Amino acid sequence: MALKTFLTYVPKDSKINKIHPVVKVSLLLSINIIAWLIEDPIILFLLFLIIIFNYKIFRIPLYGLKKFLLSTIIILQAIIVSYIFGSKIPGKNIYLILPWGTYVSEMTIIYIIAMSFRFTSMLLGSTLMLGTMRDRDIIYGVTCLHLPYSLAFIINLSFRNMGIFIEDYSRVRDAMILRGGKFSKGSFLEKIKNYIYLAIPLAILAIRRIIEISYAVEAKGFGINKKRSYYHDYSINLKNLILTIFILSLIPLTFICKIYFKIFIFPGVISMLIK
Amino acid sequence: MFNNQYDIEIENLWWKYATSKDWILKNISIKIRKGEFLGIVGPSGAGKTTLCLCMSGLIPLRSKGLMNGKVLIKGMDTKSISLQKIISKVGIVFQDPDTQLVTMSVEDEIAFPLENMGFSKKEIKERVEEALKIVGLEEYREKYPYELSGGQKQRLAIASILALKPEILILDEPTSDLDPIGKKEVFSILSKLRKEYNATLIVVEHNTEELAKYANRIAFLYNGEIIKLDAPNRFFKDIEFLKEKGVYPPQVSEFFYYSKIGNNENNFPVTIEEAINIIKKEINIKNLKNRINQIHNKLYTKKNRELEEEIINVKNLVYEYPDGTIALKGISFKVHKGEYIAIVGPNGSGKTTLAKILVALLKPTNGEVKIFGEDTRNINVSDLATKIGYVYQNPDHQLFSPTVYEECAYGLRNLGFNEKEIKERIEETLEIMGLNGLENVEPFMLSKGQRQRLALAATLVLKPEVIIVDEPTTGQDMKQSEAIMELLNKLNKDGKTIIVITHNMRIVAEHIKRTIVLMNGKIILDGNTREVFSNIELLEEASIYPPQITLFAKELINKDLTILNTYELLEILKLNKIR
Repeated sequence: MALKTFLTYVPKDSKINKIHPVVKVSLLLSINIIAWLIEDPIILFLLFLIIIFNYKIFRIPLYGLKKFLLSTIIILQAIIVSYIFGSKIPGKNIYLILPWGTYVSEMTIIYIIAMSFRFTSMLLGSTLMLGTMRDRDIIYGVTCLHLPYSLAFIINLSFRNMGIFIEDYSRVRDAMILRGGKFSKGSFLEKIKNYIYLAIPLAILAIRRIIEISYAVEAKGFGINKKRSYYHDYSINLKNLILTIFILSLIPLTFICKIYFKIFIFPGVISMLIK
Repeated sequence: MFNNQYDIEIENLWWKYATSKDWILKNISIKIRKGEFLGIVGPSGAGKTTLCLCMSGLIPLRSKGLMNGKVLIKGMDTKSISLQKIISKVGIVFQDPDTQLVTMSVEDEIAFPLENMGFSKKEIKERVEEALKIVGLEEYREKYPYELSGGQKQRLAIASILALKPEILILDEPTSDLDPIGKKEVFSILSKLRKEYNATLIVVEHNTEELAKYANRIAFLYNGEIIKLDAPNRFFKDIEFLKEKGVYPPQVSEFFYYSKIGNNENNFPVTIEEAINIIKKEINIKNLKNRINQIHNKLYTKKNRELEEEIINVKNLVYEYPDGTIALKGISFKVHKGEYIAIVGPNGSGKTTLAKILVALLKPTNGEVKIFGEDTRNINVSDLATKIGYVYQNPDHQLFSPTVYEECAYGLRNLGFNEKEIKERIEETLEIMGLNGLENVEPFMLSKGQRQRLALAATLVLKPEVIIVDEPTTGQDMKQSEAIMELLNKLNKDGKTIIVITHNMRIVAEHIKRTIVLMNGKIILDGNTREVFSNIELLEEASIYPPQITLFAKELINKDLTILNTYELLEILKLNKIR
């Protein structure tokens, strides 16, 4: 038996289902912020390995995430192209000087590798968390962090609608494929045109849904009373609280290490190997 | 002065949205008594939803526009009171249950409005229990709302409004998106609310047969005006008028109108029970025994058209979704060129999965599907475009181009047609679909009926041999439904193979020759539509209810006689259409 999450299905007995929502939300935040702060390619590589290892531990089926993982490859391509043609990172050896003044050194290549691990970690980390979360995780998680309910509700609605949006996306895309539209083959321009076409119905459907949802929640009194009551206790036990504090404290810790101790900055550990 | 006899009083109401040029509601005046069940019917675009929003206070409190006249809810003018006050008096349930459910469990969904209104935990618990009991969802309290069936979701949407204990409940097309069992579930809850709680109910509905059973009065909204308001027995008497304006009358009313039997001004039948009582006084069925046998034999021995070549062959098809749900459990059938087939069954029976497999969007888990002799596992979806077309239920999922012309040209260009041929094909198709002259219009500016036709046109322009149409009449009024079905009939006559997925048994009976019934991923019936509708017991197991006229004839004449439309019954009873 598998549970439907935002992005895929996860076995009901997966260990991830035993983790408290607030821990999951904290992990989602921490992975992204920490990966953004770190520049050291070796540390980013280790972070990348940890995330991949978690896919295995939590038994997240990769087939369900295929379309999301594909976007990682597209982003990697963009990173490589932008640094090769648009950066000036000094190094011992210059391999290529471009007419507009940018160049490629061995440090450019190392930086590209670092950035690839950074964005891959962020994307795979987010995909991992969203691939294991149901919308109740978001609402419990955010409320436990004492953030306003309206924020939790909006995040919840956005994530819930993300599922509907993905469903709409698949339907419209299928409709285009059924009329000979090509997304995997065809020229680059053809693909771009197809994606622009795809955006039109998606935007219109989203606007229509927003209007319908807003009428429905207003009819249920959302936002009418300043004070809201709660049907459930959003309590968190000590073990999860400590775990959450630990995960969230990794963010300022990484920041302090980077600013004051110059750890995690580029090129980091690798500079010793180069010397 | 407030008259407490009325829950809602509308006086000379005019309304237009800030963005609309014309008045959406024009001079509406109506008084709704406490405990009354008011049905509202009318074609698409008549202003039904806007009227519901006015009666719930969301207009003018949450919508910008111009309002003349007044709406009094329990004597309070909606222009001068707060939404908070109105919410405890009036609840509104919308058409699509998915957009109304905003939490993660059934229980939370019912608690949501109570939490918003700041009720105590104890009171929330009590009210949640009570609402769960009314709609019969006690055992689903922990369930994720999106995992419920369509009918259960709409019952949940009703429960979450009922938790606020409103005295007036407005339901805007609550059963449009539901399968037959879902529709029954919703109407049985409404009946309960009326009998046990004396709730005032205002229900917008296309299904007049159900409305006729329950409503005290029915209002006909047309082009923003109430053009008819009466008790069902008088309301449905004017059949030609209703049909001309785009409303399906109950089939038994239609039968009585054309037969001129029991033409009693105040006792015109609208339900099967009423019809039986009247007709038994007027006609002696036993005297017609010979004629009935003769017609019975004629109906059943009608020669089927000779089958042409086989174009689809489904053998032991199994499909399993990634979450382990087995949607299709070893089904087999064949489709021949020129056939006209309906695929029916409750929600979740596997109809849409089957359609997606037939167009190769999904590949079989086990078994084999051959389209024109080729295994779909080896076919590229886009290569099938000229062989098999698929039109979705919601046209907005398949219209993506900037103009009507470009929408039709999209597929042709992908398939490499030259511009001259593209132009010719589009002109021809738009002419057939009645969309000529609209070539440069943006698809989303068209009416829903036109968008549905354009979606069909964009598929048809590729001249596929087989066309699969998913729920072509959902949410459409009678005129639009009939127009779409006439078009499909014409395409079938021209040699196209048509497969229609639908919950609408009236259109199946009136138009479609072969019916396949799916239940729990298996085919439980497959054959001539008349033969399929003969198996009432098996159909009931699949929560499928034949048209009203079929049930009426079985009750009146003979359980073994299956008639499919009003005119067949008129013929059997020697009551050829008089008017």
